[in-house]
Amino acid sequence: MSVPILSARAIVKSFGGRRWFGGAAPKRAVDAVDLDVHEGETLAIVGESGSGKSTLARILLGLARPTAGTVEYQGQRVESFTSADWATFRKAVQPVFQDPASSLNPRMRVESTLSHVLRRHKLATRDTLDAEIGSLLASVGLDAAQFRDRYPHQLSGGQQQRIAIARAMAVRPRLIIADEPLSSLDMSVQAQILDLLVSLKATRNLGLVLISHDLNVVDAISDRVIVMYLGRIVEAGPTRQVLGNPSNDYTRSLLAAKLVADPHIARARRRAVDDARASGPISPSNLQGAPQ
Amino acid sequence: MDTPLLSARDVKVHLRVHGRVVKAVDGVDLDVQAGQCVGLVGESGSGKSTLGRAMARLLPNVAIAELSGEVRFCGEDVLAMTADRIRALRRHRGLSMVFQDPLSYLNPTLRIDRQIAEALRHLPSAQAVRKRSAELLRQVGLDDPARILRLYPHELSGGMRQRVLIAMALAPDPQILIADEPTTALDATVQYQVIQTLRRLNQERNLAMLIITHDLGMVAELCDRVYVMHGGKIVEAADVFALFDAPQNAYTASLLAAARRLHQTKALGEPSSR
Repeated sequence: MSVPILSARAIVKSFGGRRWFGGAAPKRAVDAVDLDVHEGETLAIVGESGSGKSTLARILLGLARPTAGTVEYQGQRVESFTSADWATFRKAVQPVFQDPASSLNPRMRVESTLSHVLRRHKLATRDTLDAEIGSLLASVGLDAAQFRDRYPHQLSGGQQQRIAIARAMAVRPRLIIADEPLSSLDMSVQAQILDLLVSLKATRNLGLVLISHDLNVVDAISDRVIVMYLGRIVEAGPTRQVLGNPSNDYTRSLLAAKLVADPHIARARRRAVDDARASGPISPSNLQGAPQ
Repeated sequence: MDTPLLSARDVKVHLRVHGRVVKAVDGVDLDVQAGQCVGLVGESGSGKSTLGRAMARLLPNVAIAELSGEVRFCGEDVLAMTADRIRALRRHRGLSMVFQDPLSYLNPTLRIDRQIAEALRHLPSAQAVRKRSAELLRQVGLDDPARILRLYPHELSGGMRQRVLIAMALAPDPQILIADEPTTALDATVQYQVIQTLRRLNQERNLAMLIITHDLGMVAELCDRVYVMHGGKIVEAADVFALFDAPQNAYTASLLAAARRLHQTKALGEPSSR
């Protein structure tokens, strides 16, 4: 297979442990994680709060340094990057965060948010700037005339997230790393943003690392999935295989906890849960005692 | 049908925000029968939380331009009650409420035992309070009450905090629990545990519930009847099966389509039409 766009090798990130009187051992938020993302591929990283998935995202983005292990961009280790390499990397790998309100500058209009990025990376001249902003807004489904002069607080959560995606797309990245991009949004808006990501992925051959705790979203968009629990990868593989035939107990408990928007299925399943409860089922509560 | 346990008739809550009047709730009828689990669904800004709070007489702390209509609980008009009467109702066999963000409803400086005890002041002795607190925690599926009672809120996980709040809400032995987005801040597996806790309370204690949520998956899991709210009005009210099988309203249908996009009804991993 071709060289992956981004790969992680034996990434470890520990926090704490440097207390005055010894204190607790450092906590490994990410523990020996390997992964590869290829051109045009969508990789989902699934896990609950505290599983280390957001820490991993920050490391992949170059926003945090791993305690051990390396991140490689197109086969080159990021530690050996020159500032020119970083500039290339920042153009190729873009983030989208969970809370769009706090990732947009509240004092910048939509237009300046986007033009700032375009000018910084010299992707538009004074003459082409207007047209470029217009086409970026169009690509995320917003009408330029209506939205370019707005401030973030004049946008709904879904519109803010579209702007954050447009800003990420402005540099024509090869890979977007999106950390829970849907979870702060209403359900109907979630579906719209999900469709937007699917269409960008298809039309731009965009690679996507999607961090999520929502298996429904993961199922709808990803090609491969990595399941993390307490900093480690407990299961990885093609989405269809992992979700259709999970081999790990934690993955199974995530699947069992998935809500279904159909009362017939939900009721049938809860009868099964009640029947199984007597005989000690595999249920999310079995994992409760696991150390956090 | 019997007289509903909790009912709203033509309830209007108009708020004054930045000099403008926002019709947050604009003429709503809603009934919850004894022992029934009712879902109130809508997007942010639909007025569902304002309605839920109005029914519990916990109105938002902003200027109210108009408050009219009738909310009846066991036949009594909640909106017309004296402060003493509503307090009595919250303390004993009345209505309780839980909210979205459990951490902001717990006092960070007090252990859980002190906080639950505040809801149990009617009990005669410290021993009775301890016994009842432990019982309440067990009812919400927290199986090690002796340990949990000694912890501070920051030492609990999000799901445990929410279940502690549900336990506190159960302290006055309410007939109805109004839950406003009770699982939105929680992880998927924890969300499922809290939903199962609510379901058990509904089934085993015959506790009526009004579940306010934007998540139709949660409604499918829990509710008997559903009200869909949009722009301050109820656009559709139906039995849960009827609503999911054959929505009558275009807005309901669009919400369902979005939910199905996210909560695909096929088994995961099966080929889809993407």
